[in-house]
Amino acid sequence: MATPVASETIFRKRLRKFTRLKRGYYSFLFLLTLYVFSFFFPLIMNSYALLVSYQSKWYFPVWQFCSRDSFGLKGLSEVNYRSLQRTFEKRELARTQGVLIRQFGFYPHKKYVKAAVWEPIEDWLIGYRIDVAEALSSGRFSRYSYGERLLSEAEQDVQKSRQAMYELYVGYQQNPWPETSDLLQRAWQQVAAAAPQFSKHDFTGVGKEVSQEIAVYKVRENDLQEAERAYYSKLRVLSRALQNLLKNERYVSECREELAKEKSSRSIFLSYWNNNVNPLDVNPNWQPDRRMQKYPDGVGFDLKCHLLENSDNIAVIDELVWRKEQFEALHLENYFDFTGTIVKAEKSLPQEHNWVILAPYNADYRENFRVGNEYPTSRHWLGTDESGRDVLVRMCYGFNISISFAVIVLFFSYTIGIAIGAILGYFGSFCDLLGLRLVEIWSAIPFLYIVIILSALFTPQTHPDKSLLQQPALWLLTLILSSFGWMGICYYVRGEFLREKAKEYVAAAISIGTPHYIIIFKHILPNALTSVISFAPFIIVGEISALVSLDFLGFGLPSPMPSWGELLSQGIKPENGWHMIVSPVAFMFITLITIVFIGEAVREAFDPKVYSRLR
Amino acid sequence: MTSYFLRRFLLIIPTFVGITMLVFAILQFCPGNIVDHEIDLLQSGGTLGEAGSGVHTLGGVKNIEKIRKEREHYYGFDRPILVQYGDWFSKLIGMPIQFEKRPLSHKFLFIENLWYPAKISLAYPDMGFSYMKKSLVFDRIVSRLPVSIKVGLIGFVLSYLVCIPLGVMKGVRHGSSFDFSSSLLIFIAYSIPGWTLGIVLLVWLGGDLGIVPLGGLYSDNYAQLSAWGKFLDQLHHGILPIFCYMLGNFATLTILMKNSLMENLSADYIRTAFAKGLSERRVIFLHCLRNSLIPIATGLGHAFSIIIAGSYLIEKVFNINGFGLLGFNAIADRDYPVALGILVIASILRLVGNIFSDMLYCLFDPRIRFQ
Repeated sequence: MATPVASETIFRKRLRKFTRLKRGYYSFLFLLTLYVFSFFFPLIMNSYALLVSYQSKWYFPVWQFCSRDSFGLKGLSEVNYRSLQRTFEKRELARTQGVLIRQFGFYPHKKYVKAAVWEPIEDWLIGYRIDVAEALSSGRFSRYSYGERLLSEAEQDVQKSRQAMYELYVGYQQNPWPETSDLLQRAWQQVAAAAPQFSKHDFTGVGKEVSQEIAVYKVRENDLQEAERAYYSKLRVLSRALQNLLKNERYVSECREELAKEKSSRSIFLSYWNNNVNPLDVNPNWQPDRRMQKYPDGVGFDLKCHLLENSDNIAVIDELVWRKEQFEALHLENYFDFTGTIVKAEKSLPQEHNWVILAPYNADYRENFRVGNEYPTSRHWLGTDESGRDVLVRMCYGFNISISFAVIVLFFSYTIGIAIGAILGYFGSFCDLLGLRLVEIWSAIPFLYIVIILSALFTPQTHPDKSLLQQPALWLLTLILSSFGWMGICYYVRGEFLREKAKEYVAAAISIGTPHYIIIFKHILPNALTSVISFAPFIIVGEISALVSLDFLGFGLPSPMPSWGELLSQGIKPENGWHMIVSPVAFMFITLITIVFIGEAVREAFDPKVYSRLR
Repeated sequence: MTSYFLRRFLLIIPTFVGITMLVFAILQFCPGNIVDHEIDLLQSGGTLGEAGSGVHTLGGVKNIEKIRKEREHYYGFDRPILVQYGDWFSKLIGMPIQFEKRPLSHKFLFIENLWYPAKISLAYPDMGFSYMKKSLVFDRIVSRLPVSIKVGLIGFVLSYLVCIPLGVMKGVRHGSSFDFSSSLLIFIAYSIPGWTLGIVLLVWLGGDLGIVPLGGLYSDNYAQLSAWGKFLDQLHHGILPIFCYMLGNFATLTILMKNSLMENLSADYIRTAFAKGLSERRVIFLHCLRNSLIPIATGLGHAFSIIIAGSYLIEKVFNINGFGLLGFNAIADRDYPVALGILVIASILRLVGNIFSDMLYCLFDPRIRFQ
């Protein structure tokens, strides 16, 4: 007697068919693995340390926020774990080999500091005995030199654009419409020559806009009035731009003055410092410049003085002690921020072994004080964006967010769409008529309005130690997109219900008095659902592209969150590098084509049709 | 059948009123309206309004609240929302109702445009004034239409010209290496949104190589060019946006064509035709293709709405001053009249397009019957 074999369910049959379609199946496995893996990205690419052991206590900065003071550093802000690691290494060196390390923090004027260059300084200092004064005066790691370069570039920009704008402005004033055409072109050429420099200022492309707009009206010729109006309004814009320009100019000159003063006060101080002279001895009225004040939130670099235990160690320490006294005598601690105290070696030696484990790829999706718009390097594999955030990390985290986002939106829009479609299709007649009108009205609302309104009403609060999926902004956007994404599914489910409702099994179910909700959910829905599910991957593709385009337009995720579209909007600016376009496009393309492969396989597996052809 | 479509057409009216009313209500919750913008301008030292409006200059910070009230009265924001809506709607359909004694706002908005009420008719609906540019909304919309229609129509026609033959070829040679390779192309085209590829091409071809211009539809010296030069100039400027535009529905259209052809190829009447001994060419192109085109042709109902609506993303990337970009900017700038005007046109086209495509369906396939 043969045992009865349960017949294969349709779903199982389809699954088997799906696994046979190699391209789609492997794409599915690939994407699933990558998505699961992407939840562990914070363990791989992060600027936080994975584990810090400090004074025999373990900290996990990836999960909990640790301020600087919890590791014996000054301040309550975020820790730079990379430099913490080095500090610990040096202390460990001091502990095991009896080396004395002291740190001097020196905080320069914040205004000139746009980017910090940490590594070269530290690398250069390790293993050398360095005179503090020499370090201060050396241009190699003076950020004044960087500030000066920035400033001189800005000055040149202002000079060039001022010239161009002025000529354009004068040109407008002298030649009234409609004889402006030649002049306009000449003016525009001048502006165009200076155009690359414009990008940094407020009046980007004003000249171009003017000439373009007038050219358009000139094509239409007949609309002189409109053209004239445009011309005048542009003139107003132009004059505002000129005002801005003058303001910028003033700013630059102020900066220049301040820099000069600061430099001179610094050089006076250094000359005293180098000659072991107390400035007060020379001039009792000497005062450090006000601009040398300490900036508590200033980004500073640490000058690390690394003194080996050798014959003249004591002498060096004595000298440092003397200098510290000098500092205190001058009340310079209010002006320069010298952290650390000079103590003898035996006192300062750490008693236990502190260590830091960094993530393998030490970079983050958030702002850090790094040079922006950096091309790919060994440190940043895909370069950095405008604000110095690592592109690779942003892309990888963005992958997780995009997929999670699309799946959540898919879930909600399916739930809403199926519910409403089922009700409309099942009950039909008046309910259907009214419901369809409401759906039509709802689908006509431009959803950008809703995005703007809701994002203004619920100002998203983002905090760095919250994990990505806890962001309210993401949920808000999900809500909006799913509330506008269910209409297509609703129409489809409605159609399916209308078709299924007419079949005998429904009539039979009604005739034996089955309640409506059981007919809807148990009888019709499974039949109506299968084909809806088969186009889920294509809806995911649509949601991902929708998120990217919203981010591109600036209505998407708020700034620190990693997104593909935001990088695209940076990449389209002419002054930014190619890596800002290629990376997001490549990531998006690979993700989407994988999903399309899956979708194609699912569709084929769910497709009952067999195409036959006779010849 | 006729009564069915008549009923559908009549249903447009409540739907349209519902749409406009809902959006009108939503706009009231939109943070930051034109009055806030003007007050900001005032406080940053500008002058209020354009030339010809009631001249206000900043008379001290104390006056701000007073000025705000004045401006709200001037724009009519101080009225109840239903009155505002009634005012707007009655003007739109050409039967303005005077809800209260209040001067017609446009008289004071724009002295040089006093001739404008003469234009108002059903063919030239009164949609009010744009807040930002201080010009007639309908004028602004109409001025953007030629560009949108040009780009949209060319893209639309070209995509049909490419996709239909491609779909037919794929269907006929189903399973061949041509089918496989073109499928790959379609997958690629589907996985990369048109505007994204537009950015890549624009930066590469326009920025690095300098082959195509960096956006816009006209050269600076367009007016001085000869007719042939104008044509070349347009081609030069339009080639990338139109390509990206085509890419948007390339994949779906081709697959739709292919699937529809395949479905028909496996139908009984085709078998009969083959059995009758007709040549393959004749069966496919005469019998099969005609029926396979039905689902494609019904899409034409929405053609005008698609052409007009365009894609604001592509228009933004390529800096084309079309309809889509106008709508996007209106929303971003809170320029309500323009946004509402665009909503009116877009929703009417959409509602009519829905019915129109059903009608086309009936026309092409007489088997279909609506109740």
